[in-house]
Amino acid sequence: METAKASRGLGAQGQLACLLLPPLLTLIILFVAPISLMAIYGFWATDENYLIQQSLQLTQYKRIAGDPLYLGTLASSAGMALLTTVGSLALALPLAYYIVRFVTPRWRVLLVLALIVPGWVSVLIRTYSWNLVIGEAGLMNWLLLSAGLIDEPIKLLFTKTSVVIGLIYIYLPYMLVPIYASIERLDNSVLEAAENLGADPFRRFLYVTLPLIAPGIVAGCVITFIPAVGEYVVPNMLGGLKGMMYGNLITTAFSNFDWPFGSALSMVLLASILACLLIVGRFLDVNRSMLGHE
Amino acid sequence: MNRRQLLAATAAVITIGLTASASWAADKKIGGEINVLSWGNYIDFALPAFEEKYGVKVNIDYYADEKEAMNKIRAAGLGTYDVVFLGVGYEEVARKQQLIDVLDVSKLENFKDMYAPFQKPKTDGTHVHVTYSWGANGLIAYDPAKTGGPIKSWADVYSGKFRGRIGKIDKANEQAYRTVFQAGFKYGELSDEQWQAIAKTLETDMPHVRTVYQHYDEMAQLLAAGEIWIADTDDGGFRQAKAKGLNIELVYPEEGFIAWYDGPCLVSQAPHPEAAYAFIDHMISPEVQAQLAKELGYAPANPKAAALMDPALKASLGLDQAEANLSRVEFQRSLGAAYETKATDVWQKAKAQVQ
Repeated sequence: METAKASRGLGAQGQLACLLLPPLLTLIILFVAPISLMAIYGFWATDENYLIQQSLQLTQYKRIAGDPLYLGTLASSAGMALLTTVGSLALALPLAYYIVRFVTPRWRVLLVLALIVPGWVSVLIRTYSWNLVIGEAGLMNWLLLSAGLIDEPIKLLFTKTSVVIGLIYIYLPYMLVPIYASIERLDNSVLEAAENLGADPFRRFLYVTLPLIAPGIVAGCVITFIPAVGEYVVPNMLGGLKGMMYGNLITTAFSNFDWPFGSALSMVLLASILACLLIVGRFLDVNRSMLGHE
Repeated sequence: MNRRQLLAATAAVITIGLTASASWAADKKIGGEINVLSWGNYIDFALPAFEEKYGVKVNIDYYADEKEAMNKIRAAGLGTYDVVFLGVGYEEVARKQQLIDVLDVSKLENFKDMYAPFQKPKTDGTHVHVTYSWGANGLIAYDPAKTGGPIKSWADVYSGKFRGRIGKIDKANEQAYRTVFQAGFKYGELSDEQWQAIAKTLETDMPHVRTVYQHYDEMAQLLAAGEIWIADTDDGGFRQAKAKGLNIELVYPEEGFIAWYDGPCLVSQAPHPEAAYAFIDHMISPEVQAQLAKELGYAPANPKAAALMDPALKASLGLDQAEANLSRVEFQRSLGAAYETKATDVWQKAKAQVQ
């Protein structure tokens, strides 16, 4: 009896192992191994012929710590990512709320698709299209000049504002989808109960809706902020000289053959984001937010 | 048949034999394929003729700069690529990294026709690349309708009149040598004081700059859109922009500029060496060199190309003075990784100060 139980138990474990092995191996091969390799590269250096010297040293990290350029750019990139997150949230929250609460289910699907489908187009093309919209000879200036609202073109392209506009445009779907999902899951009876108990729409939103959709908001903020800090395509194409973000420093290092320095810069970014997540996790239950359950 | 008739008959047989073998060689089909790494839109026009002549299919892989090319060779492993286009000192780096082989130029029929400086071997007596194109870099392009007058120097560019209308190429090495001339130094290794002076010059210049760009195609778009009026360029980038109908002028800055060269190298352990040599020879043939000048506006490295070129194009490329220019200009070379790291630091800081 005991033996049969044990064999059944072992069988279940074996099945579980079989189920877990492919994703685990994928994770190790595609994530753990490259990140570990990058961590090791960060302690190496390059010689005069751009060849990597595999001797452990802290040269790259000393270079990062010793020059305000690198940590300063990381801080300003975090600032840009924060602006992007706040901007995306300000757009996504009312949009998602409107779509779920006021649009018929048939149109709802179409609207959500209309917001997500542009994301299937290459980020390069979508970003470049903003050049044609906000450039000096672009659509925006043409419309404003034609309408007589301005006398000379607005110089919006190649400013920090154009970078933030581009980043919000690219990352809006990342914010929208989790918020939309959490609003859609809202239990109407809870909202009706609040209304029956005398809560006006504002108080109902603040004290009932907002806490219930908070997990979606936190998830949206996290998955928008993290990639936005390391962004380099949008700042490059829309920011020009004013668009130097930390991701551009990493790209330059790698394209200069300086893989150890690029790796060290990447590890600093990774560590900073993990630290941010830990801090956020202390105040909010990230597990619940990201997975949407207790 | 007397002796004279016998000699004449023998000569005729030899002549017919030689002619036949030459024509056989010219039409010799090698077959197979070769794998080539090149800049985008740089050699594509020359491929159909090569493929037809030798029956070799060219698989082309593009890169954005020489370092990416070298990374690709390493990542793919030796034995994958046959030919890579490198220049301005990167061929020396690639040789030190054992990514490319020494070239046996005796296998290249067209090599003997190249301009004399391009036939010179490296200091160790070897050849590791063949020059396909050359020209000047560290130049200025400007729109005279916008600037309202000629520009002759860096001093003119940064006089203060064109604040917010200047574009710069986002390449640290190029910015280093442009600023070297602007600051009155010579191209080459620099002392700490000279680097400080260069950083200071860039610091003064950057508030005048509207934007930076990665490629000269981007420069042409920015000039066309009126976002910038004055731009960093090289001669090929300028001619390609001009060919798109832009009303722009080219300036060889009074403070100085540098020359560049670029060409095919034989990748180590090339899997198709015979086709690779035929390909390299094809790229320096007068026909391809003349087409290069016509299509991309780069000066040919083989003077025999001039006979096949339009007089107006020859004049615009300054081919009459090519020999004299070649003996006078200084060519870029590899200044080492430390120089590049310093140049990168200085350039990144210059960009960061205007954030």
